[in-house]
Amino acid sequence: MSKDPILKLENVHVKYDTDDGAVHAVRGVTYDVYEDETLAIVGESGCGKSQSSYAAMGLIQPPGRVSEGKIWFRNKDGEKAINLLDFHKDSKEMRSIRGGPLAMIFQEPMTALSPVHRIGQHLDEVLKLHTDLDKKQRFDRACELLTQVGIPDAAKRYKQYSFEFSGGMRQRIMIAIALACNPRLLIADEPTTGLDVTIQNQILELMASLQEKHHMGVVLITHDLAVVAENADRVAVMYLGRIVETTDVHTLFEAPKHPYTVALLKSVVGSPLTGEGRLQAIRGTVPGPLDVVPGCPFHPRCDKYMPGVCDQELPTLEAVNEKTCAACFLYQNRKKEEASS
Amino acid sequence: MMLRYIFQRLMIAIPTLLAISFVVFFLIQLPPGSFLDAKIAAMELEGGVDMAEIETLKNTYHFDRPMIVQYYYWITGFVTGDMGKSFETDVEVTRTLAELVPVTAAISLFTIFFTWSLAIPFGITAAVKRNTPLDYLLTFVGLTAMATPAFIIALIFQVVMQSIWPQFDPTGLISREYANAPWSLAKFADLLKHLWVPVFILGVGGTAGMIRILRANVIDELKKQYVLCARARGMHPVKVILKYPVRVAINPLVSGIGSILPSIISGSMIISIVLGLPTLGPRVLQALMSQDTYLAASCVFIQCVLAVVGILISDLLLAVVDPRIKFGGK
Repeated sequence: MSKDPILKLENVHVKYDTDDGAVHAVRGVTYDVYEDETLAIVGESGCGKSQSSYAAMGLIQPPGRVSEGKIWFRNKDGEKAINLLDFHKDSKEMRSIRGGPLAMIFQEPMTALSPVHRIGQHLDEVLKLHTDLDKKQRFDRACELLTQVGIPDAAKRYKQYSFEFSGGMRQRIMIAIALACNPRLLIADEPTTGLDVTIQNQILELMASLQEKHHMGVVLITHDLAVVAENADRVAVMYLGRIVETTDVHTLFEAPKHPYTVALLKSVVGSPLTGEGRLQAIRGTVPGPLDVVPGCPFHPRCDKYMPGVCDQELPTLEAVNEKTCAACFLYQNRKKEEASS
Repeated sequence: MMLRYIFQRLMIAIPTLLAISFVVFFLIQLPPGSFLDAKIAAMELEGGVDMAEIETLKNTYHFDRPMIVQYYYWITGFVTGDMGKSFETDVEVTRTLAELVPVTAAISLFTIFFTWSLAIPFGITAAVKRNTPLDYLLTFVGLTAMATPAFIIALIFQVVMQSIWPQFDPTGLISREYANAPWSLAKFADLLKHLWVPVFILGVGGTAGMIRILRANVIDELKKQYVLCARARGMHPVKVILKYPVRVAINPLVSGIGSILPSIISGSMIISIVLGLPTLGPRVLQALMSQDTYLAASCVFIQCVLAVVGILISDLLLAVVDPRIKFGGK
């Protein structure tokens, strides 16, 4: 892991300009991903976990825009990293990266393939965009990819349409498309949402085995902590557009630091923090996208809220110990003393 | 599979068309009186009834026989290509058709071409640039054009043309000097010079309507996940839009081609009258009013045949452009 990160987001902001004002979907997110590693990004709906990765892909659509930050991407090991935000999102450079070395799969595989094109045409398209293979070579490569993701009888399946496949099969095809040009990094946005549990496992296992084979970095976006426990190496927990805690997967479940992480784990069946009796819900609701919460955005819902501190200033993400970083004043001594004095 | 399906459909079409032909003939005969009665009345007014002529008409057209027999004579003639003669002009129905159908079809086909070639790019643009000033402008123009009846547009057009270009005669299709001339390059050029007027007037409403439909279809498709996925593959956004959402959104239009078929020869009646166009529409109307049975029934029936064939073509096209549709499902 001493190598350089493949992808590094630095203080990335995503804003949507609406008639009611700017919605600040991502408010300064920083994370990095290395080769052979899976970084899980967890958080509830609307916390900006998908948006931050869309920003890396250049897929933020107007009225949205990446308003601030840097997105460093390293195409080859040892090479200098380039800031993807230096290019227009639809520029030639960006398009050659997107779908090639930087690939993405999405949730809801049911609608991810065009209903009127053969699945082979999707594969052919991505190979045509990113490689110099001729027609015959592309067909062979497509069949090879389909076989690799566990679709038997590839030459025949190549000619079929998406509605002739089940949801799990379609997600396999999406993975095949994403892997077509040997990506350095795969962003998987809730890849198993909408699939039933046995299929979920198959898909995640497939991704893990392909990751091992191709030494990819993976960003796994999910709200399912069970998926995190099974698949991630490191975890970033997001709340309201910010990362509130980063740690490795074992520490996350054994010694979570940020009160939001703790509350999240308490609300899940089978986590060590759940204990006896009823599951605990996080009290309150997520503030609306246009509401302004002073201080720490989680303080109105926090069990360890310190009046006079948490509602005054925004905590930054700082190291708590050698394993964990958290954005919480509980672990920032200077502030804690201020509160008790 | 496909051939069997077409065969099945054609088999069903035969009894359907027979039933339609009977209804058509029956409906045309339904009003009280007949062409013969009207003819006798007209002769009486003029002073003398020529019984010999009446007798000839009676014998030729079987006016004294029951309707069902007349129907039999008409339909058997029709299938062998003999559609009888117009009572009024004593000209063969086939000759009248040969004269009017090409002009009517030319206007219709040009109108369809005009409609599509404007509606498709504008519809896509309006969808992609939705809720921008450009979209609002297209919507405003479109709704105005849709809400204005074509004959009003025709009248306004004539008035406006009168004041800005008085030498130009916006009515008719052929200038007077070519009216009886045989077809030549010059006559064709003259036709083209006049053709754009009815094509424009007839096409405006349809274009506006199609822009709205296409805009809605494309917007629906743009929201689908597969568009985002195609972008994530690194495809150029414009190519993505043309390859995926437009391809899906245009399906209903492509498959609708068949149902346009009957309207190709019908021509728009009111516009044809306002602009004085020699199309089939006004001729059929006149035939219906004077109970010119053979001409009216033949024209209406041909349109019905085209409708049945058109629907079959539509169904087949739908299956060709949309692989989700299969034939003869159990």
